[in-house]
Amino acid sequence: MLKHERAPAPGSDDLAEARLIHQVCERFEADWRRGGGVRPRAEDHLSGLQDPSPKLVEELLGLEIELRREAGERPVAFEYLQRFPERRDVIAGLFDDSSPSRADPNATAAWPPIAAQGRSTLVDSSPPRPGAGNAPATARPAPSPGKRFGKYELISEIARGGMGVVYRARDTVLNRVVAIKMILSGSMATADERERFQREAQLAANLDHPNVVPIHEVGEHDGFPYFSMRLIEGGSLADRLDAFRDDPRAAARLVAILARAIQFANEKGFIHCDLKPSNILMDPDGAPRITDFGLARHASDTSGITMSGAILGTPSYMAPEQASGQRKEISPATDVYGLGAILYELLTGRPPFHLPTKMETVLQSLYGEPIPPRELRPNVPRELESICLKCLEKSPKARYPSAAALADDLTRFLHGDAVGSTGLFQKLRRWTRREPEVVSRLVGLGLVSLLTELNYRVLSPAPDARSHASVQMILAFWAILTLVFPVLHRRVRQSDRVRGLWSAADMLCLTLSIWVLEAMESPLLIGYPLMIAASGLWFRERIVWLTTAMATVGYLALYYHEAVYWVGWRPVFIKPDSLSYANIYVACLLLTGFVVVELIKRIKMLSRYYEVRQNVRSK
Amino acid sequence: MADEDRGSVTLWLGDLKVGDLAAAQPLWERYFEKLVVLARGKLRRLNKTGAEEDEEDAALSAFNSFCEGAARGKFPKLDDREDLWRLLVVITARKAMAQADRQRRLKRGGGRVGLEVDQSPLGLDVLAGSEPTPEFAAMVAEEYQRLLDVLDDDDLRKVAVSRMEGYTSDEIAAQLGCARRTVARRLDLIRKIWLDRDEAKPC
Repeated sequence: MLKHERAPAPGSDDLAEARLIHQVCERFEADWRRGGGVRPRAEDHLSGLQDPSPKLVEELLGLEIELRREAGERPVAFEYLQRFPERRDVIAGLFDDSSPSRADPNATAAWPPIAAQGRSTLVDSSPPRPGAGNAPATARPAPSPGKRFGKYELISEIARGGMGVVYRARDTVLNRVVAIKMILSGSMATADERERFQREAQLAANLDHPNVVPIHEVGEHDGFPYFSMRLIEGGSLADRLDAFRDDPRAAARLVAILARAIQFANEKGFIHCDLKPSNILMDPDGAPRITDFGLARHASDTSGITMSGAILGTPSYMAPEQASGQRKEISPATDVYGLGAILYELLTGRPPFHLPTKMETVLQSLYGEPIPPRELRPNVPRELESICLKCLEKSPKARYPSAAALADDLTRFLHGDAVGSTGLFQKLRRWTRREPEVVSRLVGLGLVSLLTELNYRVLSPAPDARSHASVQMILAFWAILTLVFPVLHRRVRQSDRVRGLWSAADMLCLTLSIWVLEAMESPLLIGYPLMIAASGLWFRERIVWLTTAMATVGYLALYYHEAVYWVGWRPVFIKPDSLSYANIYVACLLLTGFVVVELIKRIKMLSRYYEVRQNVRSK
Repeated sequence: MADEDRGSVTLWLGDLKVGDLAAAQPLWERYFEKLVVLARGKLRRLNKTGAEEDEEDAALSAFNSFCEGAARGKFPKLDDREDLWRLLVVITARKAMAQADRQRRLKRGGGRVGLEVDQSPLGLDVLAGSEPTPEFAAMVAEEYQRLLDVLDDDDLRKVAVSRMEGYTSDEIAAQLGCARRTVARRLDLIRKIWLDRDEAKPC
């Protein structure tokens, strides 16, 4: 009776959809069970349909996932996200154990079965977890704090970095507490990168050394690559810097131990690339253990794990070859630099380079020289300082060739033997790099002074001894100022004000010498725009404007001295024809300042852009 | 009939407040057991006329299994709106109401009255009674037979019968050798087909 009333009634879209879903899925399952080598793929069954509804996709993908699990596979969310990138929500629901859509619609079901004990199988309708059979599924906590992650039960967050989060977690199978580092999805976009990460972490798991944190397991869960490692309870070296501040020998001992461990890893082909105090964990009994070898790039792999060219590592501790992105230059000497940076921080209490923005820090690590430890802390032995600075050399070739060589030199120092010292030339070179402003000024002044001397003695048709002497005196005064300001600069906190003063002093000296020479219309006027351009190297717009203003004032003072003569209250221009050039000159000075400021703005914008992007990536 | 009884029958057929469920469950069980026994007898008599043995078995199987389960105190949960038994009873009750309404309308020649059981369960207990009436049980049996027929697909029918017999989705999946998700999906479709028939049926 009424058997063939099949046409969907009006308003029964729901039913029509359910029928369609039913058809598609039944066909899929029939194909699947037919076997015969060729497995049906969800895509193929969806492709014939016009605009399949989310529900249909959810059912079909859910079915495929269940069938694959039945076949002993472990499908992961990530794969499905790749296959169906525009179905994110659906896939998230399918793989999120805690979401209601994942739960079996019959889980609340009727009537306990006739063949009794079925209830327990109902509750545990989640996919079988390999090795997690004994974990009570009903005890799965809410998604918030004590969340579950595969076979691990996350207990608390230990640390959070650019790439991932470290949790204290319980391994429910072996029932031990471990640390889990989860790589945030944003940091590794492609399957390629994930695979490489896994491969490298697996290799790193083979590093068996008493001063390296052992990796237990590498895996991927819900699309998050992770690895578990031994939990080291003592915190990181970054928390214990104070203990070393007044004990340089202890610092040397510690770094020697680390260097031996690094040598061991280097020999196996691993380069850490991100050595810093927070990556050195301390055992409760004080033994250091290096962690995060998972990030390290395997030396034989030229392309490196360093994802998509992003600068990995922490700018304050980064070797120049790493900061400039020259991956081919990365070698064991890169880790020697890292060890040197740790030693530096242990000795002085601060990293070698630390400036307000990442860009400045990176620039500094590329071109600048760290302040010698003894200037910051006089109690640092001279030999240790020279070992430390040798590690921090810009060119990898100038550093210790291996971590073992560093360890040897540190041991020699500890035994009181002679240390491979550095020559005067090297010290001079370091100083040049450390104080580029001073050196460039001094060289410039020396050059000008020499040329003045040359002009006076050889070229000048009518040498004026008095003006020559005063010019040389001004130059000497200028040179003294140049030596005084850096000291002030280091002592005074508000360095911008000192820089402004310095710039003003420069202008004063320049104006004075032009005045003395009465070189108002000579090419020496090039000095003003030159100073403005040079002030741009501070990367401070205000200093550039200040310098520009000072230059203008200086020039106007010269002009006033030269061209204006007062008759009573009325100014009289002695050289009226030079006025038109004077206003052009002033305008050009202002324009130069403007251009330099614009350049600084752009560079700052770029730097901010990269920093924001890095932050986004790490979120 | 006692007021509280009437209230409870109304409750379990209509929209239930969570707090009332526990109280209503025993009443529902008592009522339901009797109803099913009556319906089983009715179904057997129906099938006597010309049906083949197998088909009779299939249709009766659910009732038989239920009676066995009931003997051990296992009943459908009242709070499970998706349960097929509950659905069967609700659909039958609606149909009975519609019939009563039609007769009333014929007498009065008046307009339509709201039929939604879920919204206006008043009067339902008159049909169903605090004790299941033989007439209502007969309607349940007929409706059950009819609903199974509507499922024009043996796979769906198997799932429906197994479910009425009280097997869980996992067990049904194991019996049929298909995915758990497939069982869930078929049950969903069964419910939709039945409800659709229930709503669309013009006479």
